[in-house]
Amino acid sequence: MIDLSVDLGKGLVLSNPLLTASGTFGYGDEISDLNVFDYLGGLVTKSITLMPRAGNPPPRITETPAGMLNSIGLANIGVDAFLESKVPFYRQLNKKVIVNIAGSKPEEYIAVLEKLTTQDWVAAFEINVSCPNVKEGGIEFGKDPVVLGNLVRQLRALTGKFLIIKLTPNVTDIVSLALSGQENGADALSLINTVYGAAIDIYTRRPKIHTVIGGLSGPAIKPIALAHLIKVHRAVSLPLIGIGGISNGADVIEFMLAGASAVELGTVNFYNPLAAREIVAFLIKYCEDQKIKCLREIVGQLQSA
Amino acid sequence: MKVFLNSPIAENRLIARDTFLLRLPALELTSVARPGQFVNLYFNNPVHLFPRPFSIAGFEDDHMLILYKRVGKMTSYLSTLPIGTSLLLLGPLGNSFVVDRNYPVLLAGGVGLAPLAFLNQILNQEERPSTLILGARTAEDLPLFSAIGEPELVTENGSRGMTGNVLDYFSQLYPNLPKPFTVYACGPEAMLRAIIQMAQHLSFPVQVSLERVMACGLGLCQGCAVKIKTDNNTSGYKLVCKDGPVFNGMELSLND
Ligand SMILES: Cc1cc2nc3c(=O)[nH]c(=O)nc-3n(C[C@H](O)[C@H](O)[C@H](O)COP(=O)(O)OP(=O)(O)OC[C@H]3O[C@@H](n4cnc5c(N)ncnc54)[C@H](O)[C@@H]3O)c2cc1C
Ligand SMILES: Cc1cc2nc3c(=O)[nH]c(=O)nc-3n(C[C@H](O)[C@H](O)[C@H](O)COP(=O)(O)O)c2cc1C
Ligand code: FES
Repeated sequence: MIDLSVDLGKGLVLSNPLLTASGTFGYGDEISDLNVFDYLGGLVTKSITLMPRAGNPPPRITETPAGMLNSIGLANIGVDAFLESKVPFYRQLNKKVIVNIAGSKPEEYIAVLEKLTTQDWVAAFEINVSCPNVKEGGIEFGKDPVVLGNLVRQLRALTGKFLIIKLTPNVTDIVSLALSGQENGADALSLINTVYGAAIDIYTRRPKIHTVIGGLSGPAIKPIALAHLIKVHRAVSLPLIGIGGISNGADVIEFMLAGASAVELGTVNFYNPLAAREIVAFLIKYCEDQKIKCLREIVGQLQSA
Repeated sequence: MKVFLNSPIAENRLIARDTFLLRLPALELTSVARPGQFVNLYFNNPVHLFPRPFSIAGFEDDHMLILYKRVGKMTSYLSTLPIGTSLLLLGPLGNSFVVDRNYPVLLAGGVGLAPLAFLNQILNQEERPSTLILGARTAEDLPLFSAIGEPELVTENGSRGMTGNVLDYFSQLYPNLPKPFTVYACGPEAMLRAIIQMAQHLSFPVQVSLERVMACGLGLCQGCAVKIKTDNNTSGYKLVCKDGPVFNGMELSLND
């Protein structure tokens, strides 16, 4: 019997390393009839904000080679409606539920966290820091180690729950941000969020998404994600959650070797809603072939070149 | 209940310019799918990731019909696939037309016929009289196939049926249509905007089936947003894949 469970520390144990990436699995209740939960270690909700957000004007998505661009604009029902309508679903799910939080001021993150930290079904928080901070001239929280550190410290003081900081790749030195998260009390880091990208329709000469620049995701960004993961893994001791372009079981192994204790499945949920099932089958086969009893043994086992 | 099916192509035939009729065994869908709903086709292509959505164009002997136009990469690929090739599909997805007691008037622009062909089939089964107007640029562009019976035809160059577009024909029939009637429409967005405008002026109900680029088709990504009217000038969006593809024409704000 192969053990696929992973331990993120502080009591957060997942039945397998597969989580859903925020914003790519809705609230989780949209496709409950496809029975994918059986193959997930847990799910991460879309980013929840203090007030409901309608999101950006369309067009919001476009297909790009081996990937996609999105500018959804954090469309979500807001924390109050989230609490009113989704709790019964999460309670009966019997899976680890990680709530992703976003905001445009530290106060907004704090307010959302305070409303949720007393909820027994919340296994962890994941903080989306790829949002412009209106108090600091619109620079994203996740781009400045001092701004990020202040946010993490305030959130840490307010919750005993597992706290994950989700890093953006759109920075010069991701390690300084990872260290800031670690020093200010994060329990784990997840990486990466989407990579800046753009696409233009040459006939209309217009951008293919309304915001002109959006977030690139999918297999196209996998090597970028792995590089960031390797750098961060060398520099910090926190458990890491790998994200970016994962589409199959081999990708999951690659991320785990690079230092990820768990992974999040994002864009793949769109083009292969049954990916989790296929990945679990691959992981078991891989462990059998490699004579591995516990999958978590491979975390960080990347060898020198 | 959505189901995944691996369905071997039973027929993939050119029926009009760049327009194909695809026939797939889909026993599991016959009893559950309703007119207006669509399926995702998954191509497992490492470069072009998104599944492609297609309206269900009806059923014949436990086979599902899809009427598609070759417009780009995956539809070109699809058009080359021989009989027997397995296609992975998921459906039925989205909502459906809400058929009321009014006299049904079905307005189809080109390949927009697909969901209306299914609706027409159901109306025929229920032996309800209806009017189906099908328009295209020329006679060669008219996607005609047996299951749709004998629709009223209109072409822009007059090469078949009446000369003009679907709206011209509809306006001409308008005085003599049984009232009250409800319009069910699918086709180019300019046509849908025009019919909604007309419905506003003349106060008849209209339901339109919309298309938007979709990444998931399941309500997961929020990518297929369409703007709806709100009371207080705030932005409001609905998802074409989950709240649609069929919308009450009066709730949409298609101009921006
Ligand atoms: C609910 C719904 C029902 C549809 N029903 C039919 C139908 O019955 N028959 C039919 O011929 N077409 C239908 N379409 C449109 C069809 O999905 C697109 O023509 C098809 O996806 C184009 O794929 P492609 O790779 O050939 O085009 P591409 O080369 O990718 O692009 C060509 C054009 O197709 C459109 N398109 C591309 N990808 C998508 C996507 N994922 N979703 C929607 N549009 C896209 C874009 O506007 C683009 O301009 C429907 C679309 C929707 C949303
Ligand atoms: C449509 C879409 C919406 C997303 N929404 C969010 C979000 O609300 N919050 C967030 O932290 N990340 C969001 N992301 C980023 C993903 O969670 C993930 O970090 C990124 O897509 C990279 O992983 P992938 O290549 O596997 O998709 C979104 C991504 C996509 C494609
Ligand atoms: S296509 Fe993803 S939400 Fe509609």
